[in-house]
Amino acid sequence: MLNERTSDRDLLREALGPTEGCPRAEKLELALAEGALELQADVTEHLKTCGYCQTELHLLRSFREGGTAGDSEDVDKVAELLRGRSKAILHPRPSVGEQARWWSRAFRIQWLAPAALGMATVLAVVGVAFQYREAVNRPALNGSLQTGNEVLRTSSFAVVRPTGDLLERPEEVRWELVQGAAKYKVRFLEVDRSAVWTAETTENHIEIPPMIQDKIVPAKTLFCEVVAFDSSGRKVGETGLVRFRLPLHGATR
Amino acid sequence: MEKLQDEELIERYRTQVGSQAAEVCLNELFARYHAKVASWCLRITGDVNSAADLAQEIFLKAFQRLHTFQGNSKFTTWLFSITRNHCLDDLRSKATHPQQSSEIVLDEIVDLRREKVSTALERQESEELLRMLIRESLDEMENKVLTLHYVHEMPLDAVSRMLGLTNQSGAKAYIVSARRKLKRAHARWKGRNEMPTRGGSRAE
Repeated sequence: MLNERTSDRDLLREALGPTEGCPRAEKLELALAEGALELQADVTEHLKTCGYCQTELHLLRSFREGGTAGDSEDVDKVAELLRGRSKAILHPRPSVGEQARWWSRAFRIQWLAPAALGMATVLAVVGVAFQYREAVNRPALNGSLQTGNEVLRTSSFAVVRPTGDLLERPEEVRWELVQGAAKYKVRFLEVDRSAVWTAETTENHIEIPPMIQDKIVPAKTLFCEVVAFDSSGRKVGETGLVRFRLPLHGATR
Repeated sequence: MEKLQDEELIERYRTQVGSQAAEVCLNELFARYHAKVASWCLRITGDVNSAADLAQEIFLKAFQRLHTFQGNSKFTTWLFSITRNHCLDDLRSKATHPQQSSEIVLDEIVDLRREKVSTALERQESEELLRMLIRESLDEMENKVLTLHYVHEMPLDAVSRMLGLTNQSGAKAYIVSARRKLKRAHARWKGRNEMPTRGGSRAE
């Protein structure tokens, strides 16, 4: 069975890893603020017992306090090397995609620049005119209508894949169809809940771009979350966070 | 420029992107943080040149993504997240074999899982039990060592540097100590939970 843990390492990782109750980094950083007065009571309580968050806080503190005068000579050497590379860091060569952008090139060709500018102006005027017509023709809402208290319900549904420990790097995300859903928003998150990838689709599956697939490296835990919306943009269902990981051994790609 | 907060610098960079002023903002951010990133990368790699390579990649990534900074956290926290994730990804991509402490297995925990491996619910119970034993029996430093090594997959030498452990065997000593404590705590828990069953058997 794919999801079955196979070693002590896995059991320990699960037991020591983050839980649903772990606060995001922006809440955690308040614990480092002077006096930590802004820290909410629930976060303070959580920090007392959660080894994972205590470690996160330690790492954040060590990052903020690092690179000061008291650090080792080696840190100075790394910093010096970095300063020597600052030109490459601050002026990176444009990517292939940027080099090939046609509209950018159009503005660079001297004789084409006025024409391109003129075309852009015409498009802008047409766009504004269209918006204005839409606004004028839009029927007014009857403010006296009473519809009673609105009841919003969302349901949960399941991610079919990827979930748990995987045999190979996933190429798509697939989930259960949700009745009445017109659109799905898919997110991949790091364990600290920072977003790695966000996408939208009208289907109940979506391909994972190769660039994102490359980020699914062995032993790295990620979370997947899908939220369903109806045609009016109202949330009608969500999967919650679903953990998945490519084990250190057994990955075929 | 030096008096501006990080977040103000980023705002100024955004509004003047492509200009000389925007470049000055990036320069200032780099000047403020390059030593911090350098220090962190050195603790991860333990090697000056690898640390500089890693730090360079981190700044390239951070500056490319600067437009995604939403100000929900401080810039330092945002940069820390990028630094940490990039360093950990790098460690994982370089890990070709199980790290040295894999041999330090927690025997009692193996038993625990063997007893309860049949269903997802029971696995969850094993995890909960282990969480409780960790909470009750390990001190803060042991907890941090285990978290960095098992959750973040950090090699033991990097864990020692990250936590500033100066004892001779560094993080390994804490893993061994944590193992013993968990073993004892599990034995105590087992004793407590088996007694009523034995009593019940005798009554029958």
